[in-house]
Amino acid sequence: MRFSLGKPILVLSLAAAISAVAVWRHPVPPRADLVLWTFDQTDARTYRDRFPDAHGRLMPSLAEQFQQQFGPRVRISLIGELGENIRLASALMSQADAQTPDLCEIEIHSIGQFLRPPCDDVGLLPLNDFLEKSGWGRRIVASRFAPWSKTDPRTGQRIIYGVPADVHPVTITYRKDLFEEAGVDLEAAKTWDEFQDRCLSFQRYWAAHGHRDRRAIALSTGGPDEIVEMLLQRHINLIDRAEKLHFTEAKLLETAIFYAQLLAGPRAIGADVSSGVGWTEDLARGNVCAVCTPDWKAGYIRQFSPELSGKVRMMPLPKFEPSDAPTSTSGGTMIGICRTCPHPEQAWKLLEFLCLSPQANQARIAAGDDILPAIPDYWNAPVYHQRDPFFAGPSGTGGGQDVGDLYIRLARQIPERFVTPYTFQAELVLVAVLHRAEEYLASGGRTDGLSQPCAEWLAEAQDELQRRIDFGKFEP
Amino acid sequence: MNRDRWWKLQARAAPYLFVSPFLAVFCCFMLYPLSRSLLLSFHKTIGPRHSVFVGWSNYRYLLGHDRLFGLALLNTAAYTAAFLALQIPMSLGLALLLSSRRVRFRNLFRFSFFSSYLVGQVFVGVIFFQLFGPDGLINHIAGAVAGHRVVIPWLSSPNLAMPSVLIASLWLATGYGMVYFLAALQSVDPELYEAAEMDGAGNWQRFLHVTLPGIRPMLAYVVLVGAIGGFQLFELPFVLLQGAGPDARGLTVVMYLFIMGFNTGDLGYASAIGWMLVAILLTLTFIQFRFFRFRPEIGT
Repeated sequence: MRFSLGKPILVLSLAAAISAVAVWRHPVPPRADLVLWTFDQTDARTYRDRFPDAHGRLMPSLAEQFQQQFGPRVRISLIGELGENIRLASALMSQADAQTPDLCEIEIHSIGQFLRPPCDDVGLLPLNDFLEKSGWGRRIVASRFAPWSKTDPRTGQRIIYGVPADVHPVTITYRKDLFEEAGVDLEAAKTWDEFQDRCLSFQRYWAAHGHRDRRAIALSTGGPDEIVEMLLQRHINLIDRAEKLHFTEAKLLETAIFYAQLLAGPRAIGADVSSGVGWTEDLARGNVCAVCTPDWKAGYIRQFSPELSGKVRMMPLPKFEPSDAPTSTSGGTMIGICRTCPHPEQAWKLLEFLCLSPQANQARIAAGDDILPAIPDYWNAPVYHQRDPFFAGPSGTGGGQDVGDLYIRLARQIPERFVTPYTFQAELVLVAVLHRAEEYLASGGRTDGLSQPCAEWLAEAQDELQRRIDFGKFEP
Repeated sequence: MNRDRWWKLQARAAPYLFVSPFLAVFCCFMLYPLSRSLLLSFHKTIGPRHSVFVGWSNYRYLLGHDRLFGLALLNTAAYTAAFLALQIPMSLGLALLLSSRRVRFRNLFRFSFFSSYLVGQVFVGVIFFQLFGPDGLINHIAGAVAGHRVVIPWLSSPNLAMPSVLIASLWLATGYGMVYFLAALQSVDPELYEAAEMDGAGNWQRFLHVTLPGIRPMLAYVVLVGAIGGFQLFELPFVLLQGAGPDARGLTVVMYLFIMGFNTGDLGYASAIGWMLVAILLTLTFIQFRFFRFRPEIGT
């Protein structure tokens, strides 16, 4: 038999026909009663995998336990963060019920876009009533509701759209061995000025011992992470709950100048580190000798640079002034219910079970997740009060550091962090100002001469951003 | 209906039937989304249920007040200009080298240079992310040459961010341009070279007066595709610089569109950016057509 169009076309046609039949006949799995989207691999494992109980017996997974206790079938979908955001935004905009999950986990950097609509049109379900009735609203660290909520301008009421899964207090982890060798007691520094002085002594010592490039602390020149942490410490959000900008506040100016001279000029102590998790290697090599560490980041040091065991130690953040918090917060995840969910009561039950219940906490601990939960009741668990031998004990003592206790002490004092649709752009603009300030110092400018131009740059930045916010305001 | 009429009807309807699958798909997946996005660009949208017609307001703000768009446009234009200025000579040089019969293993080299294009921008972003790190291979080599540890902040310095993207994209696309030039060089009539040689033309003159005019349509095409690709740059800096990069120096127009659409959630404004990009690309294409006096019949 001959095929007039030639063998390649015949093969392609056959392949297309077979594929079409295969796709056509492929059984569509029945939709679970409740679908949860998560971007976090650890969370997905915690929900889907079996875990040992306190006696070491293997327990059914949280999803299985939920089904056994309450009936609804649960599907946990692990989706890349970017993909989840885009699909979720698209599903919520189009109100495509079939494509929308019942529950979703959203990362703090992404929540802004979902909170842009007026309160009644946010694609997530308000959880105030659920939190109130269940009592969880009073048991969760209050300041952690801030990123996931929005104030209704009509009533002034704060509408909560997500339940926080974490607290993420920030500490500084430093190379105790290298600081000790340099004869510098970093933990004695209670203010940022003292901290900088000690870091300069440290750098001088190592420069004299053949390590001219060794920098005291990892600070980003191109990103907003550490400057935002410092500002939060001083209770400054670039944009607050009411979408008011704070670029022209005296404290912000002071912090920006201080940060710039940590990176440029004669008193520089900071340097950029490798992106991704490469910074742990920089710490291990002694390229930088301290790093700001929220609890999720501390785990990376253990995971990617095990050779640092016993060589690092943690301390609270130094303050600018007494009213500052000795910590900050960085990162965060919430779990929320989509407004299109046909069974919000069931979805709330699942949210409680996966995120808030004692079983959930036990599963997290069993999965090796050492992130502090947002529920202080659970902070009593022994796992958070064990000495961690990876972190060195105080000088002259062995047995590790009470890292969990330190995080718990700081977690009670974390500042509120707000996220708006414009927070991302505000951070971009702030970094641009910092860059100008760093260039000014790097070209020989004096710190005391920086106040005037830096104030002008910040004022310009605020004007520009305010125009953008005004332009983006929606008035139906 | 008699047989003749039936045949006539078939003859008249056949072309429409043949193009109808394409038309249906084109309308569903191109025309409708495009017209929707054009409409969106004149609206302020928010949430699932609200959109307000705002006329040219999105465009006015974009052109009159949006400093970030200006920055993105500047970054993208600078990148595109630098990319074309380097990619074209490098690709052409490689093509000339690998079309010479004196080079052994020409096919192997051709494939090697082209193969980088097969891996795609995201993969190249991941590779160069490692290479450009403070302790990456490039700094190690620089350190070996200098004799001490060298940390060039390729990805964290505002002045080096875009050059880093440029280096990565040249690695990616030089072989791609080379393939087109190789094809074009083979179409240049060898007799023209012989004639030029008889007239006493040297290598440079032959290149200038025979090769370049001979490959002019292909040159125009590669420049056009390079310019469009440059203005559509997104994945590579997004992966390599983990976003807009230091001081937003890696912010490109498409990345800004993405940020406005998916970080800020303003789809109307993002659509306006998209259509502004279309306008820029059409203008660029028109200028290039005029510049190269492009004639489609001899084109690609």
